[in-house]
Amino acid sequence: MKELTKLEELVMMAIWRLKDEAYGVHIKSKIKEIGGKEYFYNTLYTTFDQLTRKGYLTKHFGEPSAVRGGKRKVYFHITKEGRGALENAYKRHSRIWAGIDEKSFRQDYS
Amino acid sequence: MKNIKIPKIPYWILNHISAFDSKDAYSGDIEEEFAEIQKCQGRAKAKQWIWFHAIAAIPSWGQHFVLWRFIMFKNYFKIAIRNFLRHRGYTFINVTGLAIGIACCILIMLWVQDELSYDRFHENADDLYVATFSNGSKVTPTALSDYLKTEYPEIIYTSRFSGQGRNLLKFKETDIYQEDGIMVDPDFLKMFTLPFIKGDLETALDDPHSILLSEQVALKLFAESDPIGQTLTYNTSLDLKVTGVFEDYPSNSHISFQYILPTALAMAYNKNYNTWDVNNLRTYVQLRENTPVESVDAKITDVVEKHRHQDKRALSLQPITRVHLNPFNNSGGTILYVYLFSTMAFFILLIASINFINLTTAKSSNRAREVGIRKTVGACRSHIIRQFFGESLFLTLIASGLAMGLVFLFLPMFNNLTGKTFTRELLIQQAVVLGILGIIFLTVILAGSYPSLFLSRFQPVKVLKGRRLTGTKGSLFRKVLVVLQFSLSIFLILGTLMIFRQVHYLRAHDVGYNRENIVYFGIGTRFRNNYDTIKTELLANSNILNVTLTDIAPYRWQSNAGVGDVEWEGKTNQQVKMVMTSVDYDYLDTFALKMSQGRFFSREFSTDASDAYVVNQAAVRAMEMDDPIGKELKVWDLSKRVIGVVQDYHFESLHNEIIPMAMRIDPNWHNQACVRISPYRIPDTLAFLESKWKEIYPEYPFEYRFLDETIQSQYRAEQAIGKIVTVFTILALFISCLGIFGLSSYTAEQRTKEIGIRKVLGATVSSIVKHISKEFIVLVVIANVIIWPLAYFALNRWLQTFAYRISIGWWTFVLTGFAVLMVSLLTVSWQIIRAATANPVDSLRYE
Repeated sequence: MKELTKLEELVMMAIWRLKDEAYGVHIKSKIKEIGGKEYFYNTLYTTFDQLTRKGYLTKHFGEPSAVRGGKRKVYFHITKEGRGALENAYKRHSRIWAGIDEKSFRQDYS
Repeated sequence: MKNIKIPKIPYWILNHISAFDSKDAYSGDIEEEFAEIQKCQGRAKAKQWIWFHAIAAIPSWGQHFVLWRFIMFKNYFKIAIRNFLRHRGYTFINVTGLAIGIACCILIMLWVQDELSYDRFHENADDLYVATFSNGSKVTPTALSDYLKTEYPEIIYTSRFSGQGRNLLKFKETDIYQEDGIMVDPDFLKMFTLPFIKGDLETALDDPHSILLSEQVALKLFAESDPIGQTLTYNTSLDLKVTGVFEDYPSNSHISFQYILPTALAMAYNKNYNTWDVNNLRTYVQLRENTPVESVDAKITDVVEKHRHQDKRALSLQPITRVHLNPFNNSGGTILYVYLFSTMAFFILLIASINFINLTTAKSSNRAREVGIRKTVGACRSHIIRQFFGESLFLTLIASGLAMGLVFLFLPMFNNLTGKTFTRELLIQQAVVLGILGIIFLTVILAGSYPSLFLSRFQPVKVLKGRRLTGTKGSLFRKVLVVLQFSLSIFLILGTLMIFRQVHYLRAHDVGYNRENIVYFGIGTRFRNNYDTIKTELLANSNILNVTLTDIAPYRWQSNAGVGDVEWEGKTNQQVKMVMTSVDYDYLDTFALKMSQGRFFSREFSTDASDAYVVNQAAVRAMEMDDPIGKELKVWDLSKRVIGVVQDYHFESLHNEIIPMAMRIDPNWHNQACVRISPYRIPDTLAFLESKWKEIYPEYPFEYRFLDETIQSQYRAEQAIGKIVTVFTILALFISCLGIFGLSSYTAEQRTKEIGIRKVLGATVSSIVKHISKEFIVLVVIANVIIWPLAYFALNRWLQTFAYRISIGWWTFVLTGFAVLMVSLLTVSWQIIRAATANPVDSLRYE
């Protein structure tokens, strides 16, 4: 199985944390909150499409509202495969960062 | 809630540059966030935000569209090249046919554009008219010009225009005979666009003794020195001052001139110059801008009749831009050829395009699977259409490149054929380039639209499942196109044959007199006064057979001779007009005319010089006389007795019918000498004539013409047209044959196995060839049947424009049909015989 890219990982984590509230605008602000960087909708939607095609995400339509110009929201959910992918990513990160904490970075200078 | 109008442009950009699965949600998100930002931070910030997003999104659009389009284009291009190379023969046929077709079109377009450009270069071209009588004649009374200008406020300028022919211009030691002099009024310079190099346009023609020269003539006479203000001698007697030099007048005009004299000059020597009694020059007028010509026409229609009661012809104004195309103000003239050639060009392009359509759709089964696969992996129909249109465009562009090469190569030859002077530089002029682009566009539409629609229609399920596409529907369509192609070719051939037969008929037609070996030249008073002595001296040379004098060179009667009303004994109420000419006693013998009744003028009858007319048979018919001899006849107020009737002869081109005419003897009018010489030692005879001429006119060079050459030149237009039409017809037939050559080789290829099986089962080569070529031959036969009635109708109408014409003759049709049949049979059987003689083992082995 291919590993998730940084952006994919970020998007998946944002959706996971948002649970039932995961649609475009929220995902974008969540990513800004946890990733510290604002992405464009283009980029995000391209990623949504890719993840959906890979089977990591499913989507369902919400209600249209006036503030959205009468357009429906699309909510994203993590599938079982998606959770598996996230788990893999987590394990990989753990392996890479095992035994390292913030202090480790400072020790080198002393 | 607050108004959240979203800025249109960035919103549009954001919406159009991406293709997501959930596009609605995407744009919804953008709107939602926009509204949120507007609420919290104000509209300006929100606008800034959305613009930033839109611009930042463009690079990704670039990636999606340009890159993918480029990749697809590369793929299309590669596939196209592979296909072209795999089917080299068909590609060659397609490209060759198209190239020849496009080249023909470009050449014809050059010709047509040139013809249509006549007189368009005048700034006032749309307001300039020439007064024309209802019979097409533009020879009007001298007084008409001034009258029109003073009486009608709509007419702002008028000018008389009379040709002065060839005259001797002399400056110091240099003297030249210069053709194409004209005499006009000062208004002429304001009406017609005639840029001056030197001199003042406003006053140039004010002095009656002034002359304007073209740059070319000025250079000949004055070389480097300044011609303005210099005095030159006109016809050895008149001193004229040069007041202007104009740029050489363009050749694409219905008039041409090299020097200009003021009408005032003629008036200074002739008190009665301005008169209604004589029709002898053209009248050009310029209307006030945007005046409808019909309103003026209605007012002037009876102007001439009012002043000269016997002339009942209605007067009207013809636009000068129409004069070249339509010289007699009716359906005839160059405009016919413009239509003819344009139609031909379209036909040829159509034939070439049909080749392309037929071969592409016939070979479509090769591409069917490709289309199927493309569609299954996600191409929609518009993509396929785009792909095949692109291929057509690609082939057309290659063909156009070749066509330009062909045009470049054959332009001198085409000039030769048409008598035009197209230069290669002309090909990069704006109008021509636009025309060429138009032709290419038309070709792509004609040739590319059907194949791309046809191929894009394939359904993946069918083409991928079935082993081979038979396409009976397509083949019916192809047959219809082949029939169309051959109908057009046959039509062109019939037209060509008819033009040739008609021209040959005109040339070989018995004109009623002998025009071989007749030399004619203009003479003056000195020659006339000493005529008897000169004649005796000339006839002393045994190679000079006859000498006679007349007032009008015999080939120019109808256009130059005066036409008058006629009165005669026993006239009831017929209206008859006659051409009148003055001849000499030897006229009959010189031209070998034949008498039908009575006798010709004779020196033995002293009254013949004053009281005798000889008329032609047409005149007798028109007057409905039973016994014309001895009857009193009054033409132009000259009453004389008819002494003889001469058999009708064609003094003009056979476009016109023989009109009634009367001959009299009046030596004062004589200005042409006609000499019949023997066909032997012609150069010596001419040298002798010249030496005699020099004795009489040491100051003038001897200028002569042969009558038969002059007459041949009247049919030059038809001859040139005939040649052009032939060339293009042969090319059209060639392209058609190229097409069925391709189709038949495709059929042979498709049916290799069938032919093999037939041979194995005992069919002979000839029976196979017969079987398969029959399919094509039937099409050619159908084409014949369809086009014959149409061609008959069209050609008959063309022939109606000639007064003397051939009958169409069914054998022309049969012969043409048979010839086309043979040519197509040869073309088709070439491929089929090759297939039929092949060893069946080879064709059946691979199964």
